[in-house]
Amino acid sequence: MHEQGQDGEILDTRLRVELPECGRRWIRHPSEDLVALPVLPELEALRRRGKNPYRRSFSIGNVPSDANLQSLFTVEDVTIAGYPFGAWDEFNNFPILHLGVTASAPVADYNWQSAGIVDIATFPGCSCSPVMVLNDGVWIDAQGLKAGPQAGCSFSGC
Amino acid sequence: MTESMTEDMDGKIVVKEIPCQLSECASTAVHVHLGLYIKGRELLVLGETVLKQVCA
Repeated sequence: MHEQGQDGEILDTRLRVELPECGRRWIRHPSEDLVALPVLPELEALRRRGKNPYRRSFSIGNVPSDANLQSLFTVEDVTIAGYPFGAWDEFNNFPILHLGVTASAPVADYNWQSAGIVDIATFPGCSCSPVMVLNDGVWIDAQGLKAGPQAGCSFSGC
Repeated sequence: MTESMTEDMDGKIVVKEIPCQLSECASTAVHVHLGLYIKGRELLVLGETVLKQVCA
């Protein structure tokens, strides 16, 4: 992971995080193809050593409500971050970003599943990539013109 | 997010009955650039599951 400076800037130093018994730590969603990997103990251990790992997280506020989904157009620009065929920016320690569009209405459940379809270049290594509607600056939704830095960032799924 | 479904395109290795000879052609599974994603609301369900397991 990148180390974060006092002012939130990304430093050149890298922090190595090891996850013992990683295979046993995954927590599965009861019915969907979703898993979680708790890493808080390791991050807290880094902080106790005076290291501040750089990370950006989604919060509950990024999960769109039904009203949020209603405000989206049928075709929305979406962004994913992943590792297609294992490709990544090893030098800068960043994943690869792809742009695409929704291929099913965000408000609708695709084929009776709690899911949707996106028209985007996806390959092995993109599994579990977050699918995001990134509205940074000025954008339009069903209610009209909106503006603001990161104000409309919403997490559509993964 | 899951990788897109694939579809066999022209180029499949097949033996075609062509007058006078058999012919081999290349086959490639091509991603059709469609991905299936799980709705974000399922993260809330996963979050509850995590809390139950971590707090148990």
